[in-house]
Amino acid sequence: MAISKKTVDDLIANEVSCVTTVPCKQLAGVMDEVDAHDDIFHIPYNKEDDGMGLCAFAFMGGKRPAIIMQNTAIGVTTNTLATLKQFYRMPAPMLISYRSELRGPVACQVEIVVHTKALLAQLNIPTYHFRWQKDIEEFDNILQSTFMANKPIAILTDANFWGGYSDQ
Amino acid sequence: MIRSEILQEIAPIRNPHFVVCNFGLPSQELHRIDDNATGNYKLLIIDNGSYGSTDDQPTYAGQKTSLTAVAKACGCENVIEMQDKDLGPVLQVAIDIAIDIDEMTIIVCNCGNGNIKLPVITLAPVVMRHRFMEAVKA
Repeated sequence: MAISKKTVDDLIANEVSCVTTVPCKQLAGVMDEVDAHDDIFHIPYNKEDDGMGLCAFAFMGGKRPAIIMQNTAIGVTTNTLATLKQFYRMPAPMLISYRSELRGPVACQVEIVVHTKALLAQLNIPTYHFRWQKDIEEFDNILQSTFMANKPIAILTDANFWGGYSDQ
Repeated sequence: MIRSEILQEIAPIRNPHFVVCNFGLPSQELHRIDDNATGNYKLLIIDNGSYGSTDDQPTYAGQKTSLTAVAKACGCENVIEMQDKDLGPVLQVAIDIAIDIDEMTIIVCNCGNGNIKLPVITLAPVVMRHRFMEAVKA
């Protein structure tokens, strides 16, 4: 998928060389691109807050990190974001699937959708919402910003952006 | 805060021979190291049986859980277990063995419960981070 390749190309252009991912069907394409790229050290994970820890310490080890995850896990990452990333001032681009915002089939995930932006706002994390595929054009600037500011930044990507669920 | 994912991540980047982890609930960490660890990943668990964030409440894992068995069950074939009183001499031997074999190695050191009282670190967080990053530079 071209949009997944563009996403990874921007990561590479911004010298992101360590990416941790937590499984998500909506993000499967971009995860495959990450996994296939020789210049990225890909560490699949099963828990988002620990993935945040990996990103933090990849940065401390001299690499630029990123995490790819679902918004359903925003709640469990708040402690790590506040006491690790923000306390020690570390960059963390978070490419997040915005599950069941629009075109999503899972009703219970809507209850997380209604809290996602509020939680990120409460954490004072700059948040961008990619709804249309042309929105990816801003990804490069967002990555530059997070590494310039040494702060976490969230990019919410909804099903519309990735092309839906059943038809993707 | 030092957590084992720090060391798991830094190991392949900085290629240290040995890394140390003092961790309250290492059993939570062990399940995921088998897939991602590299040969130079050496983890020393000093199991003090308590969790600092809870003001040193005893951990459930400190009762009957064998971290050695957990580590082996998670795919680590090289696990060395010792008591704190033996830490000095045995640790040196364990380190030598761990460095000798280019395989993930876990050393479990059991010690008494709790933590000693220490003063609050007054350095700014970014200074602490900077010092850490400088220290682990190759």
